[in-house]
Amino acid sequence: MKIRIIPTILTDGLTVVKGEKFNNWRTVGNAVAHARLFSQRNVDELMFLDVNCRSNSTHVSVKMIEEFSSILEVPFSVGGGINTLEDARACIRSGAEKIVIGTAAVTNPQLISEIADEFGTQAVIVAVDVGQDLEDFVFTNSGKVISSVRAIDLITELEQLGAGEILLQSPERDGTLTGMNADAIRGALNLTNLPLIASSGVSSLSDFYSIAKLGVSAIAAGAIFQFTQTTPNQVRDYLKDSAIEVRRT
Amino acid sequence: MGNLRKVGFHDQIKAAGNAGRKIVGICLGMQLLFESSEESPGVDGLGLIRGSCKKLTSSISPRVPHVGWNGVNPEYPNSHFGALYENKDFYFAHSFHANPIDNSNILSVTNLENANIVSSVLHQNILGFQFHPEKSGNTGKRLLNEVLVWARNEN
Repeated sequence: MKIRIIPTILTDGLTVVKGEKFNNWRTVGNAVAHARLFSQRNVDELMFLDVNCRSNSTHVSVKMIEEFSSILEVPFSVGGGINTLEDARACIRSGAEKIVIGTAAVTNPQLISEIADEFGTQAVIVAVDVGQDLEDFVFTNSGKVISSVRAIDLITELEQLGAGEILLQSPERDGTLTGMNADAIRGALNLTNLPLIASSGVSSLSDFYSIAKLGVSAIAAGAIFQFTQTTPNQVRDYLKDSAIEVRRT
Repeated sequence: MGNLRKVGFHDQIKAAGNAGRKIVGICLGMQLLFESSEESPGVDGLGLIRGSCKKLTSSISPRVPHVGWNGVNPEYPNSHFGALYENKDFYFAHSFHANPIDNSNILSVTNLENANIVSSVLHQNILGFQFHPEKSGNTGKRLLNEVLVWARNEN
């Protein structure tokens, strides 16, 4: 399987925002313009997460998804405040291939099964926000709440519940460009046969390489593509030169 | 499959296929062309191509579902669309895979590390892709253009 490089676009309505440690959001541009640019450059896949919805009760904007769908010719997922089957339906019917659920996966795991029953397991990405160690309790509500569920237990149960992919995030590292939590990623890969998308903290080309070597299916990244000269194409070329299989466009 | 019946398209698609109209199925749409699937036990598929769909297991793919970009290898020299598959990857996202009874229906296979699966099929006027040409960027667009040529020109 070819490793996918997935730019994460954090949005707040129609603007792109960038934060640190799931906080201090500031506007950095227009979401649709960002999406179009990535698309023109042959990106593997995109992920849109609405950070506003994470802390409010509304779900990600259907209008925005329709716009992404009309300009993108590659798969994309959306997340942020998806709490019910009806929320998921609205996103998928508007053109998203996959939806990302986080808080709801912890508070109402049955939702995973409901969405998978209707749209297939491949439509459900579950975001797992881990602390330093997989023995720690996972975060919910955009990193603001510590749940009573250990990451190790949640990750183990996700396949049975009907998840299609796991997005492993570290709120403490997200947006900081300080490197990924390789121990947690390695641990999670051993706990599940689901494809794993590693996220949070990737800071350099060699970081992409060392995480790719662990056997993840994809690496999602935001800050490095927003705030440094690094592009997804460059990452793909670098990995290819390092004998990691990447998509042939 | 149950949903297709519920919305009433099942009989119409089947009748059109049997009448020789060109039908293209993508992903689940390809799986529905077959007679049955482990995804919906006891429910009849469209039956436009003989065979069944089975769940992907770790003996085929180390990670299930099979999600991401993968190569497509023509089953025969000069097979349909084979030139477009060369040195390109297409986007896959699925947990089940098709097993045609008649090997001559297989247009291409794709390697999932532990085994191959059937990634496109053709039976007369019935065409199916396990991957998503419509989500495979420019590579997929070129393929869809060829599919249109096929749909318009060939008998």
